[in-house]
Amino acid sequence: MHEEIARILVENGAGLVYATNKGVEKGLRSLQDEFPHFHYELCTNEKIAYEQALSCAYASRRSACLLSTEGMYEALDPLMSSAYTGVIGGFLVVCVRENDVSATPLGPFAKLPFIVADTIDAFRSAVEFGFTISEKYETPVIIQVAPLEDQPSAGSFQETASIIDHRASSIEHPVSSNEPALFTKNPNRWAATPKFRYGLHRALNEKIEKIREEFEGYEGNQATVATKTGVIADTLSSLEFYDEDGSILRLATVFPLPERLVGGFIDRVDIVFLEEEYPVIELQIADRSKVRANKMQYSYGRDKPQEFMHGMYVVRDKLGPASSINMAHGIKKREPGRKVIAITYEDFFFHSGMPAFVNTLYNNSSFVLLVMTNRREEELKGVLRGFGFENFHHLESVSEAERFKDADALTVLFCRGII
Amino acid sequence: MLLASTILMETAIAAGLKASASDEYGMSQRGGSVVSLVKIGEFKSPLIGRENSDILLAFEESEFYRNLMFLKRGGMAIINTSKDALPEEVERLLRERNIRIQKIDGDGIAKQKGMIKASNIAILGYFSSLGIEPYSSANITRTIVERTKGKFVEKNLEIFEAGAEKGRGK
Repeated sequence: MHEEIARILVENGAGLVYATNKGVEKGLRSLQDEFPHFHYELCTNEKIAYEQALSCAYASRRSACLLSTEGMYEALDPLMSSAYTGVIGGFLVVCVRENDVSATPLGPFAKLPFIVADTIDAFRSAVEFGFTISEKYETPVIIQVAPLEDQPSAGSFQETASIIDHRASSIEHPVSSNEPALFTKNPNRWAATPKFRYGLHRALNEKIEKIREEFEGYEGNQATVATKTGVIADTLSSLEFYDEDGSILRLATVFPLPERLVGGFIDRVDIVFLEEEYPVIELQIADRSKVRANKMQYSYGRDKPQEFMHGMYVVRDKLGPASSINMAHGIKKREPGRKVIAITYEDFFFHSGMPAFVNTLYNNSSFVLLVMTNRREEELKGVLRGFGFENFHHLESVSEAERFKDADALTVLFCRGII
Repeated sequence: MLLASTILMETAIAAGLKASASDEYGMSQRGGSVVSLVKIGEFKSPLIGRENSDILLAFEESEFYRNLMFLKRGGMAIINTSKDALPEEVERLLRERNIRIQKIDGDGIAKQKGMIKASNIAILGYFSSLGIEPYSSANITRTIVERTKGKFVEKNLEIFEAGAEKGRGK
């Protein structure tokens, strides 16, 4: 899945790709054999991946970062700022939708162009178009793509592979040229203080309007008017059912909204059903008198009872990777007498847990942190020693955590597995 | 909406009153809602506390519900909606709080005039018909002329007058 995505990016000239998903490494490495000047990195977390890719684009190189839709929210800080700094080289933020979480609200929220692609061909078009828009208007472009393994079967993959071969031979490969990066000093842009941010804000608004005009003619937006009842959706594949012979506007460019295209479609029908999970398209439609917006319902599950382990109040990573550390620290500070155990995972610890742990250590917290490990226990111990912390213990099984239920100092336990 | 609050503030100032408008910038462009707190007369804080506002201008029905907490008992709300009636339980609550509501289809008025995005001006027009000083039609019209860009002035005045007519007709 990610290999296919990375290949399409590289074939469109992305010289540097940053990702966080270890599953993509094999594919990226194989691309290096084919494209000698292609560079990739697997980063510890999404913020790092985004900032690295962004800096390449500052230096005039085409780059991309490959994240999950959930991961996009971990990179919100640089993502928001990048709308104002803009880029020079093309920069695509590719978010792969691996679960129910959609990143479409980030388009209007961050004021970055957002394209949704739900097939391999749609993704390929979106990448080519996205890089063009990104370089013409000097802005990152977000592309959300469904997992390509959900795409049509191997039969069509053969067809796709031949298309790739044909395209690979027929298009120029900027990646192979290894042109040097070029960064032009301009503190008013790259390090703008509030006074200059105001000017950048006006420039951003102007860019958005010009990109809106570009989106009017994008091939990925497909309108068919046949009946007086219409459907507008960013992804037809997620609809439970719809009348294929009816009026349908498949809208790939959800932000900024191509108003003439959408308004023209709405004018030609009597009623429009708008299918999206968040009101991204809906809120951009000025006249919604004909629009019936159906928000997809989520099941948040039943309320689970509070978890306890050997009398200790269990805190899990509900707010994000390694968030249990901060949450446990907060609970402990508020209720020093409560016995608390935070549970996280080794990858999460490296993702976001290190600064959280340092904060906990510095502020003298005293809960038990259980890190479920896989292969990196020794590395974790090294990191903790680097923080000046030695009170960690290896457990053969989680049940041994009972020994530490009355610990009155910050304690870290390592145990292999998942709970 | 920010234009509407600016017009209200500057109309009051032009009439010789002290006025301020506290706005939330940016969220309207990012898919969020915007609240503007306009105060006129003698005051120290620029903010309006819970149930302290005399008038609530809601440019969308959902925003009315969201900001109802600012409106005092006995206050007045003007709501941009095409509905004839609000839900029964809401109407009951408003009666309990002695809140008067005026409903106006600002979107419909502005759309009819070919500029749906100026529904806020239609609401101001309606508001000007209520006889609440200093917000007479003449005063607000003057501010609209000063505040809006040249090519939009005529259309804005047309929509303002259509909103005012609606108010006078009620």
